Amino acid sequence: MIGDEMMMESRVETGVPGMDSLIEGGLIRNSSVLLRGKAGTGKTIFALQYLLHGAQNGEPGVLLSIEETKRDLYREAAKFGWDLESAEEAGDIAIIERQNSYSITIHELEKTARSIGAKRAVIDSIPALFTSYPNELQPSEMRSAFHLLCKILTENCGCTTILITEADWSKEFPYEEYVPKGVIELAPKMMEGISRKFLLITKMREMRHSKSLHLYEITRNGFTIFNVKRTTEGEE
Amino acid sequence: MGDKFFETGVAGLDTMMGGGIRWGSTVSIASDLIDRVTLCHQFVENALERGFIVNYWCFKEAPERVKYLMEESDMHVEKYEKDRQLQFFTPLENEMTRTLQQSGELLKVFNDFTNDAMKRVALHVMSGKKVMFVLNNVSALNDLLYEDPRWKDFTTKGATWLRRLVKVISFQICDMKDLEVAEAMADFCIVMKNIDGIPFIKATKVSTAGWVPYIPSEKGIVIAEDFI
Repeated sequence: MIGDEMMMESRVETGVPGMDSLIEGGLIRNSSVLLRGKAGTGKTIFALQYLLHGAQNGEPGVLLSIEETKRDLYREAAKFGWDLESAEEAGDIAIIERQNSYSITIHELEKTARSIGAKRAVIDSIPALFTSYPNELQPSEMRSAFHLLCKILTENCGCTTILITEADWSKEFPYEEYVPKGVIELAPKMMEGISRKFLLITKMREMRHSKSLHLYEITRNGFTIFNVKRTTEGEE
Repeated sequence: MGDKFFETGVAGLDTMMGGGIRWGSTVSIASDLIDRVTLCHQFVENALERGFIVNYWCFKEAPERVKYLMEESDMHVEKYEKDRQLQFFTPLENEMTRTLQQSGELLKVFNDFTNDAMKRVALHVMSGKKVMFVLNNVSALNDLLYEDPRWKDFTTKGATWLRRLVKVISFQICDMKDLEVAEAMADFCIVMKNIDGIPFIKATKVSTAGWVPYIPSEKGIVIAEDFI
């Protein structure tokens, strides 16, 4: 029992219905995980749920959003009944938009994470961040920049971090999956003319994780993973 | 909605099918999963609770086995049987079955049984009752009779006759190998299949939802409505 309690302390619940049971209760604290998928697979929604779950449970979070503005995100969240703006006003979530330079952006991210005592962080997205400043960040420097970014967030700031990336970018930047503890893939699949979404955990170090394909959908409650063992009374 | 459609009572499935199953329909439940019987029994229970008459024809499992499965799902089988609302038939359970099959007489025996059954059904319908037929399972029946050249014609006529009765609905459970035959005989099919370890259900012809996941629970099949 003590072992279980210790394990749960070292885990961070994602708050995404159906997810935590696939990874022994949650992400490993102070680790980083890559969330990879094409456009429209629900990466940002997954990340917002993760941050809001933390905000509701005393774990503030910081989100670096390169392409979407705060207003875009507030609207996206409102579709699911989530009041992201209030969470930000309360200091439970901080959203940082793209700054004028890479170094200022990273500095702002670290400063904000420290000021709100963030325990969770999301970068949306790695390709957008690394390609936004071509004069400042050369392709040859990206690997070390990526390594440093993970270190700043997980070790320096103590944030359990979700790094959003894109399937095509990973082909050009294959080493991004070596640094994070885990890789979660999101992929659509056609089933007799109807598109269905599937999640696969391809890597999650230091734990026994599910190795199956998991069906999920963006429902009115957000990102929801189908769990065949779910009872009618509630999830899991 | 209630007059035109039989609401199955399976939340989500009725939504997939646009409100339920139209009375007068012949529906095949095609699957190789045990869940096909569970789902069919959910339909039966819902029909019985609403006062309909259920004629359950057994071609594979004995009625005792079927009753046992129903009781496991908390159905009051004894009460419904006593009230003659639920009736089991074993049209071809006969020690002569093999001999009759070899002599080509099996179809004639089945035809005689069907004619009698249809008369009873017609009487029920004329007295204002609604009737549900369950054929469990059509693949077993097909295996017995498919060599008879008159069999295909017989099934076509039978299905046409059933469709004329607007107060009758019939369910035929069948194996996946017979899906093509079932689709030809039925108005539409409910197909249940395990894909990549996930149980899926779909309704052909009456639904555009495609494969929708479901949860097999102790109380029956629960459709994941959020995934429709």
